Amino acid sequence: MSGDSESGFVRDRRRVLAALTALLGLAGLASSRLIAGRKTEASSDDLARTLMDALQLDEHSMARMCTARGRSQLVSHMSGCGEQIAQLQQRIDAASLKRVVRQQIEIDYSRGAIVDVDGWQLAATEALVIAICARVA
Amino acid sequence: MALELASTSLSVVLLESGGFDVESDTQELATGEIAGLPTFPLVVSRLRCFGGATGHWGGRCRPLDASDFAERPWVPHSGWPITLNDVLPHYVRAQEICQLGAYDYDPASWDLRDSPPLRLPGGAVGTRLLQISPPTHFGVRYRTNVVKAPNVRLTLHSNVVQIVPEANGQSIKAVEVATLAGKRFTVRARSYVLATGGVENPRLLLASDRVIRGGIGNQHDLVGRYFADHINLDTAGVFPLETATSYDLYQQDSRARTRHKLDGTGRPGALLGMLDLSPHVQQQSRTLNFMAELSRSDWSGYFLHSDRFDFEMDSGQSALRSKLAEAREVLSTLWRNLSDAVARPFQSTSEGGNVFYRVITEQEQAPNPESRVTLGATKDRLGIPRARLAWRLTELDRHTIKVAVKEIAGAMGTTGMARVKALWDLDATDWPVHMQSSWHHCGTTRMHADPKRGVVDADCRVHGISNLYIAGSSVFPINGSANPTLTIVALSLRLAQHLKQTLQ
Repeated sequence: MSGDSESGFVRDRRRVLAALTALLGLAGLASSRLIAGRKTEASSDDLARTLMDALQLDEHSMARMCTARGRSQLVSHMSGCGEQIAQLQQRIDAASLKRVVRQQIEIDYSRGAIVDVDGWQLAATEALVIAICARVA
Repeated sequence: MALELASTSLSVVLLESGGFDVESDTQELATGEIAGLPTFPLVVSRLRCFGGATGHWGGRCRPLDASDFAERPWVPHSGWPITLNDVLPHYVRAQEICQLGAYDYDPASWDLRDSPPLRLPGGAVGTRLLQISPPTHFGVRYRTNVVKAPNVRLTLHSNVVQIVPEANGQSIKAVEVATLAGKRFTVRARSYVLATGGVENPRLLLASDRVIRGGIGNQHDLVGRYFADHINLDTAGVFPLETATSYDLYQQDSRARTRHKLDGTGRPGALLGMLDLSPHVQQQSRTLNFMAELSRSDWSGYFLHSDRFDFEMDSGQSALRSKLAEAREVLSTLWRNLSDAVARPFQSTSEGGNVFYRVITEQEQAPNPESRVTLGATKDRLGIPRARLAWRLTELDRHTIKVAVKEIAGAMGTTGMARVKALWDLDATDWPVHMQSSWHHCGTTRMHADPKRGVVDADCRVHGISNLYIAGSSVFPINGSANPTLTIVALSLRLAQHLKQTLQ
């Protein structure tokens, strides 16, 4: 396997996954309106801008997602997000976002923001991540 | 009750349908008809012999919660006319009779360091303890005590076929007894106690209709209604995300360990942990009382609901229709789970990669007048109409399961210890074919202070009949989530005390 082809493949895949992870973590944050007061890197200016961008997407998708019955329907609700993902992917602090996503998932669970996806009782943020990953897989 | 009355000056006659062991011809008298939800055949779930159903008892014990006795506005027909405090001293005594440890069900009191309760944040989902009896088979353990009691006359193979009231219908004159060998005789007493279980008690009352139309104690059409059992259902799977958490306290083999109290007092005991919903959540989410096992399983159990009871359920339908329904559900379950790509990430990181824990409910049933025992179309060898059981559930039962699954998922998800998956469609209109009953027949001669709302009063005396009492879980107006045996024994002791006070 040549170095060029490998790096190209890996780079593309990483960019997509990083964008997805970031977007979805931020989307979860935005949905719960819990950004203010949380002592994480999510308070940085770059992240704040990204959160504002993510907010609209999140409200739209979350509203549909909560009515979804089953994974396939959930995934179909997520269509049309590709452009926004591409716009957001340049403004990501991956380590910080990963931590925030994890925290947000815990917050979702503790507050009962749980959705049923084919029986899986998932945090809303977690479901969003899985839905988009499933769509691009 | 016979044990408790053995030390008194009262003369007791104990009429036992069977012998000391199960005999097929006597056991056949327990055969009945099934009309509602599938449940175990009545001939399987009961035993007509000395010691009764303790002969196949699993040994799980726990008192009812104080909240079980209270009237809950969101649970129609709930509430007892007595409180936990009225039963408490009898629970303590029942604890000894059932060969249990100290009367203490607080997990904080016991040394559980080797298998601690799950640490679940928020307080919505907690751990409650059951104590496990050896189990005590009453017919074996206490046979000698009863047989040698000078004031107790035990008569085996004696089936009460008719309870005969006085002409005014206000007291019982006699009971008519028949044997399978063809003998018939009558027994007269000052007081009578009916103690034949949650199906046979209403059956006998309803069948005793020679003097009182509709049966004894049935002037308000309540006898046989409000039949309840504990819903035994593979509800969800808990998929661990890490291996540090121990689920040992919740496994069946936990009962093999002898545990001691931390303060060193009282008898040691065998314990089993169960998940429950806090009273606050029950009130806030308007649910029933809920308890569930966390049973270790592997992926074959996930797909097929395997290793459940060995007995076939009786749906009242033809064998072909039952098998087709079962096959349809198995295929549906397989399809639902095989298509589940979401499961894979969890499977790869779970304990051993192939282990999960099934959440098996043992939850309170909402009192339901349409869930009932009536008399069937056929009769047994002694001419008594067979029991016909129509077990029926309500939306409140389903709502409780949905809330419980979500709360368990929330508690476990918050810690990151596991993810939870419902093993059936919680929004489905039909109950899953794999749902089972628990052989805990309750409610059919319910206790209530108002004769229009209950068959027996707070002393377990049949309303309107001065000398007829009922012992057993048929008097439970609501069954709580705890296994019923300890409460049955405690209420029997309470009734024995009442009889001693009133008859001596």
